[in-house]
Amino acid sequence: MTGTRAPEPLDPLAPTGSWDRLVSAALVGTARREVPDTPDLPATPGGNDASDLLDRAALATVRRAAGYVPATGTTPLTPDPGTSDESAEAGPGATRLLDRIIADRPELLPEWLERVAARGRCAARASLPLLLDEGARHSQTRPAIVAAAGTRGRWLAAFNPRWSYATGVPLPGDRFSERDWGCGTPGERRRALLALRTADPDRARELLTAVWPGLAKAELRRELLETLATGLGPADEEFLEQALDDRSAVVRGSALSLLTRLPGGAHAERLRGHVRAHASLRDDGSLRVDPPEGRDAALRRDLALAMPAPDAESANGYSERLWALVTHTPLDVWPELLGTDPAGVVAAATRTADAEPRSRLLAALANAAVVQRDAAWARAVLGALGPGPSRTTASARSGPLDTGRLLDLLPVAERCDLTLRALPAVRSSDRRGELFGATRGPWTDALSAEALRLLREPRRANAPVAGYEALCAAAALYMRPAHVTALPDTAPFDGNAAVHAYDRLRDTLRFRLDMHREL
Amino acid sequence: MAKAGSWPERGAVAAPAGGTSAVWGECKGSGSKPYLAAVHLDGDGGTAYKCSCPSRKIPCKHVLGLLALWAQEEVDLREERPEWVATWLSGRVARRNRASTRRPVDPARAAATLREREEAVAAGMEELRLWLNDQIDAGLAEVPKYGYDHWDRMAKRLVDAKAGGASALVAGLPAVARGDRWPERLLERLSLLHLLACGHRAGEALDPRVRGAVRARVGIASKAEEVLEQGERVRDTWRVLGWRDTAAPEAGMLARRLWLRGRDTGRTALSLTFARSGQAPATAFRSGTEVTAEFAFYPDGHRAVPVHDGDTAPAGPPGGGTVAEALDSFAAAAAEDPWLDTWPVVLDRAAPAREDRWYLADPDGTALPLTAGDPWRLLAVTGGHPATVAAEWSPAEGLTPITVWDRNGKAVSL
Repeated sequence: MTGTRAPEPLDPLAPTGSWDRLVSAALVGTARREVPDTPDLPATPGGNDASDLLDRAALATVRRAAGYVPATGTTPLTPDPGTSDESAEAGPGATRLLDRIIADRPELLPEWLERVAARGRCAARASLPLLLDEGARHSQTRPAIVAAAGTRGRWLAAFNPRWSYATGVPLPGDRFSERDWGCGTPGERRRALLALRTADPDRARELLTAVWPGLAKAELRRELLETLATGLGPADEEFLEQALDDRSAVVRGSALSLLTRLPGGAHAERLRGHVRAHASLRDDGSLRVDPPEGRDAALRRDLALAMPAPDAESANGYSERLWALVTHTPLDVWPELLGTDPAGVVAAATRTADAEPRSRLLAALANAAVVQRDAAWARAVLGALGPGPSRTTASARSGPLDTGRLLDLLPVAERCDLTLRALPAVRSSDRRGELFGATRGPWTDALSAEALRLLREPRRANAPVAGYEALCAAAALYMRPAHVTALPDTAPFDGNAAVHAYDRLRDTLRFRLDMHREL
Repeated sequence: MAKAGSWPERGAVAAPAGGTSAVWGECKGSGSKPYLAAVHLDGDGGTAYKCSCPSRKIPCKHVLGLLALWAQEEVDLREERPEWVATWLSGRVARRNRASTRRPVDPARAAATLREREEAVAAGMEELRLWLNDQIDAGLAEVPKYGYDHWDRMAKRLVDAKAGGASALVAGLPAVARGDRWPERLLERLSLLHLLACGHRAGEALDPRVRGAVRARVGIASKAEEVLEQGERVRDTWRVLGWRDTAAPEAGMLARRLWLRGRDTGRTALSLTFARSGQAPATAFRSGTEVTAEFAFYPDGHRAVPVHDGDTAPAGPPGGGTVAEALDSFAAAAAEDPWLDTWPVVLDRAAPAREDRWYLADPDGTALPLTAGDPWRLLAVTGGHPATVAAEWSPAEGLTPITVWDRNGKAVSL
């Protein structure tokens, strides 16, 4: 509120003496009260009292509407200083497609964003509000949305709390700004530090170290600490070790995830030591991991774990420590310890007789592969799960084994190949649809050819349809859209639901074909 | 499908005025019976298709194939036609006639009908005037306790009197009679209704434009044909300022208000179109263009219909002005239509400002408040830099931006 004078902006009729008197007379009624004097209004023809009052009220009303007084002294917004190039905006064709995607085909948004980014373009400015709203709803597409929204989008996001996720994100071309780092909003500070981290990681860490003790809010400490992920190196380990003693659990957790990415450091070596102390091979060749001690303070600190509950050891506490230890210890410790390759380690883990510890151990190894982004281990764990990829394997006690995330660690050609080799043995069409969906794309031509064959296969009108629908849904997203030419206009079979899925697939592929032409 | 060989029997039906009225054909399918396809080209409700195949697509591939064949001049005019074609076409013609059957126009009778209607409206409006006086005599203090029937009786009476516009204004009163500052807002509405009733009673004594505005607000609709026949004609190059869709008074309908401004006359024209909600009302005008054409104006002097299609050309931003100039133009229009609550204004070098709410401000900080809601698209397009903005101004609701012209002069609808 900097000097704005807007008496009652919503009400054009700021009360004046005559008007107030007219209102009170109208409330009481002209049967009981005389029409008041209104010296500041022109004379009215008169007539009965009520009519006279209404005449004068109408005069006042119209006069105030026509004589509206605007606000003065408003301060305009600080405009977007960005000099982003408008020629880099997506064209009208691509923008129309985006509107339709947001309205009807949200599943295609990631592909649209990917293609826009691949051309070095950003979204048209008028689309930014819709796009930022999408990001507010779906956090997994946020990074791509922020990139497509560009500097204009980031500027815009500062005005709407729903879009705050987009304010702290760095964009290419950002420079470190002393002002932002010194007295900016949390988002601006984070951005400034990230920009510096990209250019001079050591200097950025020194700045952070200097202000660290004064950062009262745990959430801010976590956000700034996580900027170290950019340009992370052995020089950061000392600072991270310190953060492992932070009073806030979220900060300790972040420090641990960053330390996990430094397998050559002292922390990693200590974790290897814990594994060596607790894991061994039994006589029958199965892998045995003893419960790590809850009272072992050094281990708790290294794994950023809380003090166990005083009522001694619960099964949960044991599971939690095992899970944390396996997840964060560099996976190279296992082959070294057991003298075998990753597949051998997984085989030893599956040889454990008891179902529960077995599935728990396997799930922890799978999680380690995901956290440490290790394709070789992903391959080994997937190999032990049986033929073909699946995203739904779960075990009751240890939680779901997220095989989808393991699959994503493999190159796409390898995923397609896995599926292609697994398919002949699969009888159930539901399982087939699931396989295709889990593979994700873009599919190789060989896998597309197999999908096309299944899509055109004759089917009985009353055959179960779920598997076919799943196959259509997967093909719509992962097949190259040019393959639509291999699908006849009309489904080569009857049966409403399957024909509907088939039509929808052709429709989506043709939509994507348009998109590929536009972008 | 579009091969002559697939259509052993086919033909075109001549239209009485020359050209082709319909195309039909019998397509050899895989089954024993041929598919019977036909297209009625000059039907009243647009082109119509028929085919005996089970496809749910309209037009189906058979119809499309037939049309393709016809376009290649492979379907000749034929005098004789199969019975199924004759039945279908005559059924369509009969339906059209039923729909458009009008009583023969008897000028004396028509004049009498018109007079009866005018008298009914006059009686209704007079009753409204007396009813308003009664409300003020009795006092408004008890109004929030009234049930809806208190207002509905008067609103219904006005519907019966064929004064639909006035009726809608009365029906909107209970919503005003509660909440913050209701006595003032209610007195405003009542006094404007009173002004409308008095205006209607004044009749021919009023300036023709004011009278046009009165009659439009009361709900005495002018037919587009009458406007084209008798309305004021203005020829100009009309710049499209922008449009806004709002719910129409009729339930389930959407109205599009599209504003144009004449380049030479400076005249403001309003094009109103309607559609069922869920569909976009169709207009002949596109944003970022201007059309050189003759418009016929309704009696209120603002609403207009184009007399012919005209020539459309791309156009840059319209000339805009300051906030003060915008308010002046509203005041001038309100002098002819005191009930005016929506008026198009164009501001140049307008920049968004955010204080207790959003504003659009002149370079010197003079500003109009925006209606509720956030101007995100405007901000996204301008980045907060000054720009030419067309908006609807309502003193009660605030400013609603409808079009912004970006740095390259491209129009973006908001």
